Amino acid sequence: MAVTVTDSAAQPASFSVGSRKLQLVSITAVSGATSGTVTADNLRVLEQVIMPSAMKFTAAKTYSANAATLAFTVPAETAASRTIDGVLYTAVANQGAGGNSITIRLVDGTGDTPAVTKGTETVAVTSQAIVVHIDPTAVTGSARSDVKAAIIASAAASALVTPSTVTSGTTVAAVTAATPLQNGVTGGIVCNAVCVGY
Amino acid sequence: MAFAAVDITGEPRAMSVGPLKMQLMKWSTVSGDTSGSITCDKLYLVQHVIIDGGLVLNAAPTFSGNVVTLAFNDPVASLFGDIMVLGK
Repeated sequence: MAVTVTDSAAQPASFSVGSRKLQLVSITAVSGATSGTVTADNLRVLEQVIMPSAMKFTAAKTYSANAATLAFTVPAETAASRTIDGVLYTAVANQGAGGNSITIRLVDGTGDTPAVTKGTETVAVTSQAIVVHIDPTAVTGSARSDVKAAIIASAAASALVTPSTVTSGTTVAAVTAATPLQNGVTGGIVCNAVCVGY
Repeated sequence: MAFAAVDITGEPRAMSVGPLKMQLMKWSTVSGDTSGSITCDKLYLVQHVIIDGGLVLNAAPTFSGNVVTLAFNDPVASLFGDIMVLGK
């Protein structure tokens, strides 16, 4: 859902103010969203939603019963990325700055049971840490393109990153310490809002 | 100056909130605008303005009587939003 609405932590979240009723909510819109609906479930009629944030409304809000329909733009995210041992990794959508905590580590899997050989690379994911077990043996070991294929084949890793451009794909992959992606910037908006109505 | 502030359609447009009074309005602006004023006809003194819609203020709002003056970055587009003004 492009726009999500949750109740404020304030208690009570809705209350009378003179002839009106206010409901306090938190509103989130992800990067790339352009429309959405805000429903004030504690109001019968919603007249105004005031939500200071970087959201820019491209049309006046429209109201029907206790819902407001929004047309807007929000800041776009910048996906975290990094080339690690010749493979470009890009965080999947809507991780923003959180993608900077994703790490890629290549470890020697020739001592694993069964031993890793070229084409049998394994991938383990713990939270945002991706560990690829490779065969770093010169000439015959895992190629960089094998590492890319292993990441793509791993559902857990693919939920975090997309590997793309490979430099010298036939080059044997090297054991690499856990390396974080970088330059991710969170987009979208999160704000506290006031719903006014009755 | 194309920045405009108008009343909401609901009634009443203003109400008491404890020791203060609140007036509800809407605003719109177009590409090229960099300033605008809001006259709050239900208040005699404006003290606080809460404004949404991505208008980027480049100076603090100034208050004189029941008028708020805003200075903001050129939105480079037509934008819309809501205003909650507090005062007396």
